[in-house]
Amino acid sequence: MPEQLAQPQPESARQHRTAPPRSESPPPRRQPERQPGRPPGRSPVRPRTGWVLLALPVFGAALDEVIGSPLGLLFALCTVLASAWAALLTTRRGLWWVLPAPPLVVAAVTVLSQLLLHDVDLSGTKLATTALKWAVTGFPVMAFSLLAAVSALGLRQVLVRRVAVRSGRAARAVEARQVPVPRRNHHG
Amino acid sequence: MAERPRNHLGGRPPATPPLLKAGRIAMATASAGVLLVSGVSWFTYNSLVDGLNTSDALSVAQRHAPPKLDNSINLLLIGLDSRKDMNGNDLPKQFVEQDLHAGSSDIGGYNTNTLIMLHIPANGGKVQAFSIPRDDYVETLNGDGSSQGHHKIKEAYGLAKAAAEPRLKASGVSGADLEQQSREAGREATLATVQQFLGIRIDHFAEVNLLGFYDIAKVVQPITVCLKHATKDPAMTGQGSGADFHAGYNTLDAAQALAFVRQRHNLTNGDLDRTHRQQAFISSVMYKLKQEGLFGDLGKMQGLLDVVKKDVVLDAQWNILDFAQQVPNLTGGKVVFNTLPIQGFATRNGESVNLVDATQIQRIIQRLTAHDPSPEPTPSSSSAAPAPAGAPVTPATVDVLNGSGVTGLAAEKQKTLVDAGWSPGRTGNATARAHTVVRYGAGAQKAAKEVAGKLGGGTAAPTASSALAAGHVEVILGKDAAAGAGSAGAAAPGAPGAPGGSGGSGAGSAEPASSIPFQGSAVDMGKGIPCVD
Repeated sequence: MPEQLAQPQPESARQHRTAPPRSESPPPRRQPERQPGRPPGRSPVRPRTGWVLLALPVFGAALDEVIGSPLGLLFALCTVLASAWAALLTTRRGLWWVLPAPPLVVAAVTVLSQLLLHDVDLSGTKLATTALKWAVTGFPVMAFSLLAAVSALGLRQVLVRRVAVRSGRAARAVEARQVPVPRRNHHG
Repeated sequence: MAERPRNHLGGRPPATPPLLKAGRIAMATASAGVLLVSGVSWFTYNSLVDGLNTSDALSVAQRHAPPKLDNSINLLLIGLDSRKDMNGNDLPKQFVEQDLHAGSSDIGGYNTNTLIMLHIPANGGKVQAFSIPRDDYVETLNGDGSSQGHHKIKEAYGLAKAAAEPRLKASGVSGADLEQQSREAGREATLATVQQFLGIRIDHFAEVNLLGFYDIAKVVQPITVCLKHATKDPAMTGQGSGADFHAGYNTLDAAQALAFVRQRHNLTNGDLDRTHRQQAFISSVMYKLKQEGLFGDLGKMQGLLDVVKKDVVLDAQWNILDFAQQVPNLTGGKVVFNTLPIQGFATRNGESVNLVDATQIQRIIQRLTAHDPSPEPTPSSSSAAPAPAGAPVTPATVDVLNGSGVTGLAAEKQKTLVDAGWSPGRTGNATARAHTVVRYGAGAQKAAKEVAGKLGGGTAAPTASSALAAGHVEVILGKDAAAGAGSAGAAAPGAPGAPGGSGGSGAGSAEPASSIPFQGSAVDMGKGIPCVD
C-alpha cells in the first residue's frame, strides 16, 4: 500500500505549514526536521499508517489468543481503532488504500490466525462451514471498522474546516492590523 | 515507487500511474467482495437463527461443573414429556389424544423421559452417545447444586420447577413468564443432576417436548425404521403409545414416530428398550436427512429450523456454526449409541426404579470420553507405594469427598493429607460407596499414587480423570475408609457384593472397551437404518 505509507498529515495542516514536498510512495528515510524551540530527540513520533492498520489488529488478535478468546473483543476493538486511526493519519490519496483495507485485514488476520494457531480441519464439507463461520464472525468487525474509518474521516474534515476558518480569521486579523494608516498630509 | 515531485499549492497534481490505478481498483474490488460475501453470510445466518428459544440454564449449572479440559463437546438432548406448550397452555385435547396418543394434558407432568448425552471428541473421532434410563434412581440436584434427595433422574426437572413456582409467584411473576422461568429452574436441575451423575461437564443442551418432537417428525416424515419383531401397544387411558408395527421396515408418519419412541409395553426389556427405540429413531432420521442432502441445503434446513425455533429450547451458548462443523461427525457413521447400565430394579418411594452404581457409570463415561487416556492403572497395590514418612511429596491439590456416610471423615482425611504436604482442595459429599477411590487430573499421577499410598494399601490404584483439573487429586472416601482404610483388611476391589462387578475402579479400568456392561446392544448411527426390538 504505497500511498497510505506516505507522510500522514491532514491536508489542512500541510497547507498551513511549510511541509516538504510529498509523494504517494514512501519518502526516503531522513532525519526529522527539528522544530524551533523543541529539544533534540523529543520530536513527536507519528506512526506510519500501514503499521497502524496491520499491527494493531494483529496485536489485538494475539491478546485474544493469550486470554483464550480467539478473535474476540480485543481483536474487534483494535481493528476498529486501527481503521479510525489510519483514516486520521493518511493522506487524501492514501484513503484509496485505507478505506478498503478493514475487510481484507480482518479476513487475513482471521484466516492466518486460525490456520497457524488452531487445528482447523478443512477437509470435505468442513471447508465450507469453516469459511462460513469466519465470514459470519468477521463481518461485524469489518462493518464497524469501515464505519469507524468513515466516521474518522468525517471528523477529520470537520476539524480541518474549523482550523481553516480559524486560520482565515487570524490571517484577516493580522492583515487588518497591518493595513498602513495613511499619514496626514500637513502640507496640504 | 519513485518519488515524484508534487505541487500542493498550485498547478495540477501529477497523473496517477496506471499500475497504481489498477492496484487501487483491485484492492477496492477485493474489499467489496469480501465485505459482500461476509455480509450475505452474516445476514443469512442471522435470519436462520433469529427467533431460537434459548436458555441460560447452562451457565447456572456450569458453576458446579467439572472443568473443561479440551475442545470436545458434551451435548445433552432432553426430551420433555410435557403436554403443554412453551407458555404452559394445555395442548388441544383432541390433538393430544388422537395425534399424540398421549392421554390428557395432565399426564406426564415435566418428566425428562429422554436423556441422551453425546460426546463429540475434539479430534473428530467416534462420537459416543449414552442414553440415561429415565427411571435411574440417583441423587437429584437443583441448579444451585443443592440436593433434592434421591429420585428418578427424570423427576429433577419437575421437582425444581414445582419448587420454583411459588417463589416466582410471590415475586409477582405470572402467566407465560411464570412457566418459562420455572422451566428454567427445571432445566438447571436436570443439567446439574446429569453432570453430577455422569461426572462430566455439559457444554450444550437441546430440549424438545412432545409437540416439538411431533412437529419435527412432520417436517422429516415419512421416516423408515426397522423392527426385529412385530409389536403392538394400544393407546388406552393414556397408558399405551398407540404403536402397531410389523417386523422389518416400517414407514412412519409423525404420530407413528411418536408412538415408536414412546412405546414401553410389550417390549422385551420394557422401558429400557424404549431408549434403543429413541436411538434407532435418531439414527434413521439422520440417515434420511443425509440421503436427502438436507445438511448442504440451506432452503431445506430453513424448514427444519422454523420448527426448531418454535418448539426447541437451546442453550444460549450454542453456536449453530460450531455445531454445523460437527455435523459430518454426526452423520458420517461415527456415532455409537449405548444405554447406560443399571444394577437392577427396586421400589423406592412407592415407585419402581432402576438401581444404578454411580461410580461404575462415571468410570464408564471417563473411559469413553477420556481427555488424555492415561495408561490403564493396574490393580496391583505395588503401584500405590506409600510415600516414605517425612519425605517430600509431589505437589498436588487434594480434594476429598465423603461417600462413607461418616460425618466429618472428609475433613479428617484431608487434614492428614495436608499435614503430609499436599495442598488443601475442596471437601464435600459424594454418593455412598463401599470402596475408596483416588482419581487424578492431568499431571498428578505421581501425586495420586502417593496419596493412595498414604491412605493405605487397600485403596485401589488411582485412575486418571478428565473431569478433574490439572494438578488435582480427588479422593472419594468409601465405607472402607471409615472402617480404617489403612488396615490391610480393607475390602479388595471387585469383592462379592459389589453389584455389576463395579467394586473397584482399578479392576474396571482394566476391562476392554467392548466389555463395558451397557444395557442392551449398541446402535450405530450413519450405517443405514438400524433394527431394534
